[in-house]
Amino acid sequence: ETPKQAEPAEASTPAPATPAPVTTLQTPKSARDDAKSVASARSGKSQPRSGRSVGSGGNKSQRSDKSPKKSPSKKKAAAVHTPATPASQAEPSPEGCVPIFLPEPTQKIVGLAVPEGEEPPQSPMHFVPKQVIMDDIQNRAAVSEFKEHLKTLNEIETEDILLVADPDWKYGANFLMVVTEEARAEMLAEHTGEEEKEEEHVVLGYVPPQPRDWIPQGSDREIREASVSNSRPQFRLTYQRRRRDFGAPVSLADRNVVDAAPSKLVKNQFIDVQALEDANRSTTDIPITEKDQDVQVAPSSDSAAVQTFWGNPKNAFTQYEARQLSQAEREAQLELPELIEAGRRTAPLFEQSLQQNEIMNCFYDDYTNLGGDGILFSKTDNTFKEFQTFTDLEHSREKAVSHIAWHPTLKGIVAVSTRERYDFDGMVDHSAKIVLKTSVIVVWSFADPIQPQLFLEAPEDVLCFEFCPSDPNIIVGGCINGQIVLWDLSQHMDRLKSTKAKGRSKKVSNMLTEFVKTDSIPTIRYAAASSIELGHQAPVTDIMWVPDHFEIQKVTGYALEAKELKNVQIISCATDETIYIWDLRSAKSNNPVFKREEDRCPMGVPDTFWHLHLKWKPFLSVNLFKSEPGGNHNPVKVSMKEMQGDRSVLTKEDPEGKDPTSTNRGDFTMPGGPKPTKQRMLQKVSTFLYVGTEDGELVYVDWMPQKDQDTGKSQTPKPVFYSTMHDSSIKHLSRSSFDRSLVLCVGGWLWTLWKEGVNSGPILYSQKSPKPLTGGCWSPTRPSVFFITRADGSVEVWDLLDKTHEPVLVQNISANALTYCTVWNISHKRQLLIVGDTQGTAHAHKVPFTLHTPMAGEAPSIEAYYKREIQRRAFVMGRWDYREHEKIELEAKAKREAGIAPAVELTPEERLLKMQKKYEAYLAEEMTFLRELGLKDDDDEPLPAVE
Amino acid sequence: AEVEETFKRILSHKGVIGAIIVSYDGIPIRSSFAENDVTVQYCALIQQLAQKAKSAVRDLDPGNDLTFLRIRSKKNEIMVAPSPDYLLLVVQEPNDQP
Repeated sequence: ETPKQAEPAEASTPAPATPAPVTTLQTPKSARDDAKSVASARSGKSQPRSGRSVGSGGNKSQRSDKSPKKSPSKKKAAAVHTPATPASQAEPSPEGCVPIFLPEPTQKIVGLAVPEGEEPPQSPMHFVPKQVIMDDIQNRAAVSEFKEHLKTLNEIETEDILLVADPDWKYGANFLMVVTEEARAEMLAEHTGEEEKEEEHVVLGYVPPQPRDWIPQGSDREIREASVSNSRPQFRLTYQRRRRDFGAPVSLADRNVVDAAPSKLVKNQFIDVQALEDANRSTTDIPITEKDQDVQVAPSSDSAAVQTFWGNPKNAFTQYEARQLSQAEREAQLELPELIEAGRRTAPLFEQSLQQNEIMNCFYDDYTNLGGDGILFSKTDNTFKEFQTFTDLEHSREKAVSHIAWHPTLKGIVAVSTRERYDFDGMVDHSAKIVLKTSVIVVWSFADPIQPQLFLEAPEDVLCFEFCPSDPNIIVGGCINGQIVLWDLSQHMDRLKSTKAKGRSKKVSNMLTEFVKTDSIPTIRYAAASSIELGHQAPVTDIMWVPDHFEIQKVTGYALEAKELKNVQIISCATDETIYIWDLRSAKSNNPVFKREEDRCPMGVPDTFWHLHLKWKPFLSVNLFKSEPGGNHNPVKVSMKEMQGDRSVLTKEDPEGKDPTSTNRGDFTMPGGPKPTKQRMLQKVSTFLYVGTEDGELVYVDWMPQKDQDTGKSQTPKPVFYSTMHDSSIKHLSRSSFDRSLVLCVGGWLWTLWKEGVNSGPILYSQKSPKPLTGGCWSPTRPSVFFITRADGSVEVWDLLDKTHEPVLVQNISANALTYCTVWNISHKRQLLIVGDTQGTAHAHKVPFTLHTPMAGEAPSIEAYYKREIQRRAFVMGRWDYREHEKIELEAKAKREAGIAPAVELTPEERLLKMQKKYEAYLAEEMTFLRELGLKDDDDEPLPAVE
Repeated sequence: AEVEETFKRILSHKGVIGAIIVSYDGIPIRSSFAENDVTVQYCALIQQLAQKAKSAVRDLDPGNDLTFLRIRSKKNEIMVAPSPDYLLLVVQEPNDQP
């Protein structure tokens, strides 16, 4: 039974005040009842109507003694145990009702007994069918309690009898039988009302839980631990101050403890707060006692499926065709009245417009034909603006810039060569020092003005060098010792290209990295140097590539068509009185490249030209014989008419000539390369060279050798002419890119302008400049403009269309003498002039807008100007001849006048000669006279001459 | 015949490269261009342009209508005269010098 007992205790919240389950009832019904009674006991209220509740507290011990079988229901128990006391106080039963005691068996028979496990009906009213009672009387006869009431029962007319339970034995029995109609109605009315009231009472009867004693289960300790309580009574402090001290003036000042007077009063005014240092406890020693940590579990795998519609791929296309009318339809359309009407109406409009256009060209654009000069000229933009300066402290300082060249394809790459500034004697004096120095060409990029990109190592100082136009990786240079040197940059091309890109990106990045960066600058050794014995014997002063569209034939010097279109020949000149022509495809190089171990080229040097190294020799030499005895001309500069890239000669030569497009870098190691089967002779190529000499002469010479009459040897003919306009060495000699026959020659204190074909003299020459001129160059964009550098560090700009008597602009660029200048056209908006000075610095300057933008109609005007100058030249020549004659005549006349007493007596021979001349003149006159008269025939024998 | 005469007269003007009569659907009816593709291109493109121009003029003022369209280009001038059912098109090249 124990679990049964425990059950109700568990169901209802254990109430400490109530003694643990006392009931021994077994049925769930009684258990529930018991719980109910327990609950009511706990709430301290007794149900006023239920008698069992009243006595439950006291009855408990008695009830527990009873056997469970004996008291199946509460009702029974109440009925059994309570009658004694209230019986004496029984009230008279209400009218129309008869109290009746119904024992349990009877209750069962009439159906009043509540079956086990069921709640006793709330209402005390029980309707029992009359027949049941009648049957009971019949069946049990005298035993039936209803027997004595048979008479009254018979009087009842209703079908059922109302029995009202009277558990309190109020009327002396446990039931009250209603017999009359009135009583029945009354009872029903009363009880239904009571019933409703009772239901209400049940709803309201829920009592809120009452406070109970609290049983500590451990949480009190937690609360106590979490709460803060005073461990000691709180301090109470009172600060006091005299009333008069409030608001009194105070003076504050800094004071030191040490300085303070040692009186106790002062000392007490200081509170020294020392920093607390607890050596035992540092913050790191405190252990971590608490830690926040989170763990979340996520599914490690997931399966999903997607299904798509698969369409069968198909090739499909749609093509439209323009709609067309058939011929018949067209003709039919043309006859339609609408069309005729439309034509009639619109034709005048067309005629009007067409005539308008015929009268005036509406497409004439005034703006394009507007003169560009003067309008865009502003004061701010007519000087050179410094752009960048390149100088290498190690290699170029204290040396003079000898040559500057722009990379032909990569923008912003410029190579600068330098030379010692000593003259010949100085070189000898300082030879020990010079030998120790390495000579290099410094390659710069505009992206990095601080660090050079490459060094090209040379055996000696380089005086001149040129990039190969068809293969910019190759550079040829002329050294001061007479050697021609070749470099191959192909291995380092990436560096030049990448630095360009790197420099661009660096501009946005931190400037500091530019200086921090210390990757070594590669030094490129020359790939080959020419033979010392067979080459020039003096400093090589000028070098140039033969344009790629022709090549010069060996021995004969003919210009042959070059089918491969690559630059393989070089013209160089040196002060050893020779001009040499070299070929990269040396015929003497057919010996194996690596024949001997010592011949193997050094590490890191491309073997492109190694077969030429120290064996290379010129295949043709041009000598500059002077017309008169006294040695030969000493060339320093050379210029030829044919220009790289200008292939018009090829097409001129051969109208049906094929398009020269194929350009491939040939293999230089192959001797002779793939020789074209037949090379055309290019007759139109001018084989004449303008040569500037050390003595300031300009020599015009044909490089093609001719057979000398005297010796039978094939050698360069004598120059066509030479002129000595310049008073010192020629510094610059170049042809205009617009008119290749125009030659600018700079040297000494003046410049001269020559036109090929006009040999009598320059078509224009400047007055003597205050300073020696050191270099020059043509503007690549304006045919009338050229730049001249001076020894005082200034640049002169000449615009022949503006002024011919003085430069349009003189601007000082460097404190040192300038040595070289060249112009590069970066874009149609920007042009850079780069000049070198004697300190080894290359100055890049922006050319002002007006000086690089061609004016409208500039080319025709300058051409006309040159034409006028040529005519003037011819006229001058004519006048000179005339004056010469005049002078001779005048002299003769003066002589004749003075003939009475001639200063010099004529010798007899002279007199005879004179007389003979006179006689011949007479004969000629007579002859013409006779011929005019028709007396003399042409085929007649002339008169015998007088001996 | 009358249309043909007008057509010839227009063609006889100085600088006229060609003329086309186009139906309003853009189908060439009479063309002086030798190449068919040129004719078709002119028809298709100019007809659309003319229609666009016409609708623009009409949108601006419903009472207005396009009568003539001149397109000046760098190389030549295209003149278009739209009528309800047809489109006349003339291409003229200007004189070289004024």
